[in-house]
Amino acid sequence: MPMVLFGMALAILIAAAGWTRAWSRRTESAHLCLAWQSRLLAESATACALQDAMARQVPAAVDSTARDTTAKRRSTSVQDTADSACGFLGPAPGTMSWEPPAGTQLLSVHARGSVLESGRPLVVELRSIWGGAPPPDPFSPALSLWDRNAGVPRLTGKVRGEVRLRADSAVPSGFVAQPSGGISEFVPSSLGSDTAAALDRMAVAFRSEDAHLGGARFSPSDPPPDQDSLVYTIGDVVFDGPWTGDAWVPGGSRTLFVEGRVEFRGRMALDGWRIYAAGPVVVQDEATLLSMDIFSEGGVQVSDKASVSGQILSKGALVVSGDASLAAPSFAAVWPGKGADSIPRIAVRDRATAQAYLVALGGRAEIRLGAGADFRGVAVSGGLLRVDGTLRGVGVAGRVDCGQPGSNCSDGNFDRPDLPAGFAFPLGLQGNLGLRLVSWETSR
Amino acid sequence: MKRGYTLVEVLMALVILAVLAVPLGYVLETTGKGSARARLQDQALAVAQEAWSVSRATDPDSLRDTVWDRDISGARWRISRDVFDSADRSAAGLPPIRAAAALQPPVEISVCALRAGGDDDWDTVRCFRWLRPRTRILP
Repeated sequence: MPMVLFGMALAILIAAAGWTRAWSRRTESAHLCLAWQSRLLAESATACALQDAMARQVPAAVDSTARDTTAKRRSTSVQDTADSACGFLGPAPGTMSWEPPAGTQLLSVHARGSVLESGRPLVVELRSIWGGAPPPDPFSPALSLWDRNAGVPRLTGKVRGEVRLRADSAVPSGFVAQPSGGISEFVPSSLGSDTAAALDRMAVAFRSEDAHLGGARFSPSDPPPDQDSLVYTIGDVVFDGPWTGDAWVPGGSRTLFVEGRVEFRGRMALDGWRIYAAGPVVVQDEATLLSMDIFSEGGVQVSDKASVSGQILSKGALVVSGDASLAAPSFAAVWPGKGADSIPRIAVRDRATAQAYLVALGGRAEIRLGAGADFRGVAVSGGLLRVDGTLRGVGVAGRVDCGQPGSNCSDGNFDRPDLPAGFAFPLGLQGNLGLRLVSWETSR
Repeated sequence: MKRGYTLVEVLMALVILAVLAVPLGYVLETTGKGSARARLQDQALAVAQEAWSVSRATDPDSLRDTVWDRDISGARWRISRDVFDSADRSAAGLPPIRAAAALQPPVEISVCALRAGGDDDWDTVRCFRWLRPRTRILP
């Protein structure tokens, strides 16, 4: 009898264990399925965000930086709206959402998909960065010089790759004639309207009820409020990270509107923030700002050991100095401001490094790459391009007075190797061959 | 001296066995079925994920109303794929997705994983849908 009872107890135990296992297996299986569905929803939201951003392109004005006025160009208008008919044919298993992209050069898409699991939402977030796939030809030479009226450039440095020269008569020996077109082929057509949209967003934000009068100073002990959008008028905003120890991470991506100066210093790390500043944006010490969208009306400075990547649109100057870096993927454009900012400038100097697509707009624009600086990518200047070190990639300049003291080219070396893998071209270039996925990140 | 079991004891044991055997059998059967179903769902998910991966690198139009047969662990699976674009949305009375100058509207792709039932019957195990850009995305 005891043996029978023991056997029965054992059988019950085995059955209970099997039941529990089967139950947990079913739960696990259902969770995997829901996680997959929320991921598909997030991917669907990404497709819709791309659609929204690209659908905002409308024919517009001719860019003033185009020296060749015969080259008619399109511009892009970005409206701050999320209305979209994008959606599923039938009922969706959950919800999808996305943030309206801030700009259209390097398109940074934040999308999420959500399904309910036991009454609680299971959320998958996707962050992706999209660039353009440019036509090969304009970007094949090491150096393109577009000044119709200049003499023969004197390139005293080393050049590896073709040098194209625009000339009314036959081009001198050692140069290749530019095909028809203009320097505008290297300038994203949507730049003007991107900046107009940024100004509109700032104006709306500063008038909103959410705006805080005066600036703010944030630190690990006094972090920024946990809000998607932070607005500060008439004042500066400073993010003060620690000088030693672990870097301060102020949290998930936010949009920051500041009517004054914005400063990031100490050890800190931001990822995916959008910053609109009426004053200068200063990034210094060991601050690391990745996948950023920065719009500034007062210039951008990156110095010390700071690092920035993403999209930078600024009036005036962008200066990367010290041991700082402009990391990939990055796109930066500057245009003329007023007063001291009337000459748009981009400088990479000291021991700074940059892997980016740089554009300085206007006939008086300057791009200067210092002797100790390491630059890889594409540098497009409507005016002067002075290279004291080495430009690895493509140089484009509106003036060809190379070899003259203080002018472009100087003793610089131009090297046209393959651009780095994953190099990001802006989406707004004319003749792009399509979209290119630059980075893709999933988090849950 | 060792004594054997009495008739009463044996009868009692048989009664207990009879009383417990029915629910135990039910539990064991249900457990087996539950595990098998979960395994089937997992396999369907894996098959659908593979189909998703393949369809990402494929022109959407070539996926329209197509099937793709797979043998996994001795089991026959069929992937049924379909595509719904602007014209399908219009036919369904839905508002069109706004056209972009540089981008065609996204298409909706549906993928169903079906398991061979027998006599050429296919049982639908899982279906998934998602939207993807129509443009070719370069790596």
